[in-house]
Amino acid sequence: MPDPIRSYLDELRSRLVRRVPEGELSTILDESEGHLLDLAEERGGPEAAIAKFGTPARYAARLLRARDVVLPVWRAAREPLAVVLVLEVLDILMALTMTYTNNGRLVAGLHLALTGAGSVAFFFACFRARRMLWVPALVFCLAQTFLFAGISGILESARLRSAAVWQFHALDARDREIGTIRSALVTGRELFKKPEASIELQALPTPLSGFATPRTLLHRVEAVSITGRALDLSWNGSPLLFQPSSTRVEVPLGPATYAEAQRRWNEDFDLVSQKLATLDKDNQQDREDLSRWRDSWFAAAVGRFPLAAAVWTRLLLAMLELNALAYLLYRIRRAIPPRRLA
Amino acid sequence: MFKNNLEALVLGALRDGPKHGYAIAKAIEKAGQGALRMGENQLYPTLHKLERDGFVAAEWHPQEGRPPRKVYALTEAGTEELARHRERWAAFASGVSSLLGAEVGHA
Repeated sequence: MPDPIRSYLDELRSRLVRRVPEGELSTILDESEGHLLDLAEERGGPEAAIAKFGTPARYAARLLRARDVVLPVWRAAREPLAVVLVLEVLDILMALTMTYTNNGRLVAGLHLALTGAGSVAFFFACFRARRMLWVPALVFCLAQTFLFAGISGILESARLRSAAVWQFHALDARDREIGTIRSALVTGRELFKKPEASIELQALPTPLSGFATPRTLLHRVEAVSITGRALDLSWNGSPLLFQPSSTRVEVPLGPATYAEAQRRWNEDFDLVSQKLATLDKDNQQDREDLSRWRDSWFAAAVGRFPLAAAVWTRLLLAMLELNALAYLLYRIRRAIPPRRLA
Repeated sequence: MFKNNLEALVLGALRDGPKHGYAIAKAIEKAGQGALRMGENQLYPTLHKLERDGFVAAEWHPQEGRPPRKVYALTEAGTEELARHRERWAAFASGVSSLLGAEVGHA
């Protein structure tokens, strides 16, 4: 047997095997071989015979249609469904990553194009499978729901992690600030224990410059506290800057005022220390909360699940409608006799 | 225009005796005088359907150095089916001829 005819028959066999009973397959192959050999003799070569016979794909399709053999569901639908899946994943990624784009028309256009292409692919899958694809559609939509929630959760988690990095920086800065204030407070107290009234402001440690009293430090501590609270309530994507208190009390360091300053230090020291301790505790709590929040991608994914389920339930309904339409068209097509010669 | 005409053509080709696939294709081609074009890949699905429907019966004829040939012959049911096709075609052709003739006459 010439090689082109052998190749032709091999391909034909591969397209029919397991879909046509073995006995019928041998019959088809033997008949086809005999016919091809006759044609090759008549037309002067196997290539011309094959050209007259048509492609193996078309021949196999005709043979299967005549036997009313349809493709197994997953075999018929896998390529179009894979296309749908890829398109939908792109759509999800686009929807999640382009949230901040102001160009609504672009987003809507891309969404429409991807969804439209996905619908066409699914419609093709239904038509090719020649039956209702309820189960694949359901599985597909469930998979998409989890995929959407998963991707959405992962992206949300990445966003949270990115936010958390900055928030940890802010917390570190707040810790440092509290440490500095505490150190300045202690240093100031030690200084005011001395009886001399000759302490120069410039001689105080740098953090204490401009903060002559614990009360002033308290202002600053409160400012830190307020900023710290604001940190938990909102985050705007940039590191928080700790502004020193705008309230600066100028205390002249003469003998008359020195005693007054000394009294105020001693009066307020405990209050300010207590405030700092509370801030420390808050800071620690914030750090723990932030760690939990940063690591809660799964919670973020679960949080997105209702939205995903709503979206994909709608998609499931649309797919089933398309499925029904494709099946209806298939039935109509079957009802029309396909072979016409005259 | 003429439903299931390929089946009718195959049955008609077998009217004057049993034939294998290639001979049936040649017979249709020859009888059609170029007017009937049929792809080879349409022939066997039709033959197998006719065989399943009981309108043709087939038997294998061994050949020297070549694969055996499956030769098809009309069954009694096939002969009756061919007669029905013939009647339908006669009615159809008569109607069309009459209509075309009247139109030609008016022209």
